[in-house]
Amino acid sequence: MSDCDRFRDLLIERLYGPLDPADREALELHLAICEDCEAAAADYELIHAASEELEEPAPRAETVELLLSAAAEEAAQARKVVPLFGAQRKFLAPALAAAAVLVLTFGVVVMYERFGEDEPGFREEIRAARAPAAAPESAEESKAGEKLEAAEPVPFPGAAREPAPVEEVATRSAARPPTDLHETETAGVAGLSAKLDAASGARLGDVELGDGSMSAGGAPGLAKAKGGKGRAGGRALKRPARKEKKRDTRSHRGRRRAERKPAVEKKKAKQEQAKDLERSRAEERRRSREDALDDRARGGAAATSADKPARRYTEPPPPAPAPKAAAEAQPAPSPSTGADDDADVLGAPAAGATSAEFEEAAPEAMVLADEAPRKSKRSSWRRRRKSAAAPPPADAAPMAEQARERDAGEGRAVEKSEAITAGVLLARARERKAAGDCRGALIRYERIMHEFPGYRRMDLVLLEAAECHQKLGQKRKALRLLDRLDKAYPAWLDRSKKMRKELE
Amino acid sequence: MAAFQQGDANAFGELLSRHQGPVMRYLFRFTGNRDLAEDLFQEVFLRVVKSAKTFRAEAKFTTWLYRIARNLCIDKARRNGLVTMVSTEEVAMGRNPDEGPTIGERLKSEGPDPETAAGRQVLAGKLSRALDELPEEQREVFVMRELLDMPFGEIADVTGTPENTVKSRMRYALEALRRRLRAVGTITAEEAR
Repeated sequence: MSDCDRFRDLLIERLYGPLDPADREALELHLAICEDCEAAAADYELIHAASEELEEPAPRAETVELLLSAAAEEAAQARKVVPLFGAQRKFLAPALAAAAVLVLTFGVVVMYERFGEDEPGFREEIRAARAPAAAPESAEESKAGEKLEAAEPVPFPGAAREPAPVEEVATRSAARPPTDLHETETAGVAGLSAKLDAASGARLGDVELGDGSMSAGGAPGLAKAKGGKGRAGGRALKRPARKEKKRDTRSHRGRRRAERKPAVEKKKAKQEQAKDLERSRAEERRRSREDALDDRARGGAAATSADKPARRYTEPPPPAPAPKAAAEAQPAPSPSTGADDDADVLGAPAAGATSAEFEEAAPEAMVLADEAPRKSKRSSWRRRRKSAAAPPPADAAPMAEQARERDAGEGRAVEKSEAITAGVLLARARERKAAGDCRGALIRYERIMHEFPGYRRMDLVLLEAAECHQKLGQKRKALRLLDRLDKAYPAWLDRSKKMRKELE
Repeated sequence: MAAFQQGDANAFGELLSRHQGPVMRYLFRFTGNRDLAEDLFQEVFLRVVKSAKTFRAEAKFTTWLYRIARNLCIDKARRNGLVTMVSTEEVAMGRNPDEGPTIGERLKSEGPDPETAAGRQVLAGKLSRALDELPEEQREVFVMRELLDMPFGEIADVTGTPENTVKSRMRYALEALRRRLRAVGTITAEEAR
């Protein structure tokens, strides 16, 4: 840019505003010596002055009116329409996008939690590996199967979410006699913790079959199984490689979680163990109590009731399994013979029997009814039923086995626990009925009918449920129950007839 | 504008009265045709009415308004084949405007003194014609700066060009006008023929 060009720019700037003193001085000096720039300055001034005289066209009035009316319409619409989310509308799209991302992330996490660590088909392989243990093809296979069985913590990923295998593994490995490799290992706390680790590993699907520490101290059976031959052994050998591969493909987050879990699981397993022990003791106490009741009922109801009424009986019986002989002597009750059984033991209720009579007819229910309020609300029929319906806890297995042996393997224990649970339900139903809450009572009676169809006091359940329906004015339902009662329990025919008359 | 966005029709009236003159001037100088300028004026403000929702408060209204006007003008000119993109170099290559008598001297010799009002009006007529002959880029900068009194920075915003470029265009426009106005006697003679 030449000097003149620079000063021409300054000349233009001077047209529209004052210049800096330095620029102004420099410009004046330049204009004094440059005729061209001086002439340009004169012309610029003239053009600038002339441009003020330029024609200024104005829009027509009609155009302005048209625009004003259009604006009025638009403004009216703007007042009517409330914009979506108002001023926050500009944040709507980002917010929606963020929500979508969150939902997707959550979905992915949930899917990962559910299926991420599960390998379809692998579970089947494990089942297949377990099955041959029961029917091995050869002696070697049988051996391998036994070893695999000994190395129970079958570490398939699908087991990760079920707590049972953990307990099972922990207790089985604790209860099982030591294998040959056990002899070479250090026993005691270290061994137990290692087993718990193994259990945790099984739970997590984070099995470290190939891990030296495991084979040395924790799961000897597994180490043995590794060397086993045959199908089961082969599976056991394959597993680590598969798992390693699987683990490598896991995300960093997944690996970290898997690393963190063993400690937590270890703790959980210990807590579970303690709980199970407690549960099994409670179960044991309950069984003993029931046995004592049976003995009392069988041995002489009159004498027992004279000394101490059945419904007042609250003391727990001695823990020793005294009633074993009695239990063996008494045949297992069946639903079909339940009525006769009760009739023998308790005496057939007379027609028009009152609630008190019914209470005497079902002493175990009354005992439990008395007992129940002393326990916390949480130890309701739900838990008892759960404990009755679900398989016994893993570490309670030996005790349960003992109990089963005591009952001569007749499945009596299960029936008893059912009877207890049904008895509790019956007692609750009666409480409701006595309180005038027939609907509440019916819920419980129906539960007994559906969940414990073989309950030996089903006659009472049917009769009392019919009474509840009668009170509620549900004639049809009451008659239906009476039909069932008549059919299954002819001893109650008189009472049934009386009720039918009342219903008619 | 904020009031109009909220549904105040009177606010638009205020806007119109404040900007109708400069916008009409800009459009008229851009198109060189009054009717066309009137049509464009209507279109510009209708677009303002319709697009008021999209206007953001942080933007300057005049910048937004003249962008609309400018875009409409360019579209219209393209459709009519009126756009003549003459490069600044081409303009600069003309006769040296520094040669010969100044505009004032020429006017004095031919008619009224440009220092008087009558002289300025004569000059304005010639300037108007000279403006029409300016390349579009220079003309719009000159119109915005001289007739709308818009700072160079804002002109740069409206036209989307750097401020220095705007200043250069202004200088080229002035030089071109000088050249044409110096030759005003010749033009008058031609017109007379």
